[in-house]
Amino acid sequence: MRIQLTSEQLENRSRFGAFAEEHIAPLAAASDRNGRIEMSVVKRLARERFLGSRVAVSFGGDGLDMISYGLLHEEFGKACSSTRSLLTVHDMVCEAVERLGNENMREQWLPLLTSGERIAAFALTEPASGSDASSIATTAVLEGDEYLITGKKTWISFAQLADVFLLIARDGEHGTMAGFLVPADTDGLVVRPISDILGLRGSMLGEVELTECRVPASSRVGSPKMPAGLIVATALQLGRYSVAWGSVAIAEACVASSFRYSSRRYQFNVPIFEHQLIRAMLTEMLAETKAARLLCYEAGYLAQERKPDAVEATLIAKFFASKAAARISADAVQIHGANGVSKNYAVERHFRDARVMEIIEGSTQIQQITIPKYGLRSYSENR
Amino acid sequence: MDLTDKRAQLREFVTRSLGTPNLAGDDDIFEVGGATSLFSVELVIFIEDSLGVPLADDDLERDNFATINAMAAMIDRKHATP
Ligand SMILES: Cc1cc2nc3c(=O)[nH]c(=O)nc-3n(C[C@H](O)[C@H](O)[C@H](O)COP(=O)(O)OP(=O)(O)OC[C@H]3O[C@@H](n4cnc5c(N)ncnc54)[C@H](O)[C@@H]3O)c2cc1C
Repeated sequence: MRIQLTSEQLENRSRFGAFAEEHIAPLAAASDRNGRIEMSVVKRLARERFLGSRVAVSFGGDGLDMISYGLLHEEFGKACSSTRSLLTVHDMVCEAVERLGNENMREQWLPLLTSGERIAAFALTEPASGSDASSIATTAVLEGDEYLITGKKTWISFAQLADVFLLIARDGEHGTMAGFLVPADTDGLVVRPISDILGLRGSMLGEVELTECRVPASSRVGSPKMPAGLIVATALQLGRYSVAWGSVAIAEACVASSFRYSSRRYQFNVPIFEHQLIRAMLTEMLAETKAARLLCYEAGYLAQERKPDAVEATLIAKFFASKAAARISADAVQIHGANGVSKNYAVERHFRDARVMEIIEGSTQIQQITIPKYGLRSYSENR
Repeated sequence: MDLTDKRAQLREFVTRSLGTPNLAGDDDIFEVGGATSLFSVELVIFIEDSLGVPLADDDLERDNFATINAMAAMIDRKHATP
């Protein structure tokens, strides 16, 4: 067994880190304050081929391996979780199109998505359907060679920016979940911005209402006879992996800031780092961050090797890392004292962003329902 | 790996994953076996990468995955016409 990045992965990490430091970090506080990310950043991400970076080179992607893809999310997430989150949703759509779309769809859409000419968002959640995704009410009814889509989506990241949505609707004929590529300028589609949220404030959330939107039947991703939910599970598998790494990113940024701060801040005539109770917090923070990262490495390794166990490993990594990020960012605020609740330090933003990580891509409670089912596979008596 | 091995491994994977050792070859795994959408993802990876049977766009149909026998038949077909 060897836990060591290859030279290519190390190079990728430095490249991602340098980019994030130069082009993302300086704008992160403004993104959080203004509730948006700048178009100039999006353009730069596209130019550097950070959008759809997992997609095969033949479709304009970088064919990034899963570990490098995780490192991309860690490096970007340390700088700005909202910008990182654009990669999550855009890449989930790329993943679904590349894996489940037909050849025409891949050829039409992937070059547009990897070049950033089109920004994509993933629209599943509805006002009355969150964790229970199978209860969505948006419908897609086939009429001739078009689908007629009606319904309402909410909390959609980057809805305000997206040119196209991977929209999940209930197939009017089979009643199963189906995915459609719906351009944002489709007649009958209206986006209403959602602003002033607690965390990931720069992720340009929106509500998307569709009233009898007509899209060609060829907009459907995958065959109408595909197993129910495969489209959603495929997209969420990558999304969950990236959010696990995004959680590690928050934890790492908080740990780094806490070590620096506790070494510089004097109380009772010594740096607060010398106080045992501060060290106790730092120990937990450090150990949990490393543990979360190791779980992410395992999930990434299994996914890269295309092992079915990657599904379970990703659930566990996301569960652990998002909880760790919430705890670690809370401790980081504590260590920074009053500065921790001010805008003087990024830990305040990380603390708010961490709250979101336990809610998206399967909440902590949903993971607690799902993960034991995998445990039973390994530990049940009739195995 | 020959076809008999592939069938046996497929059966082992499905019954172990779903915790249904007595699953019959014609039982619908999405109903009797309680297969979830996450399991569909695992199944596709298993057939493609663990069994080495690449799936084309139009193989990804529920009917091809509904029962162990249907999956085995699909694998047989693909073996005959790779
Ligand atoms: C910043 C942000 C960005 C988002 N981006 C997107 C996006 O791009 N696309 C998209 O489709 N959606 C997006 N979402 C929505 C997100 O996926 C949902 O918020 C999430 O699925 C949870 O659904 P809900 O908010 O309706 O909570 P609910 O499902 O109503 O859950 C409320 C609480 O009940 C718990 N709960 C639910 N069911 C159970 C149960 N069976 N047992 C125990 N506890 C349970 C939950 O864990 C949670 O604590 C985003 C949300 C946020 C906050």
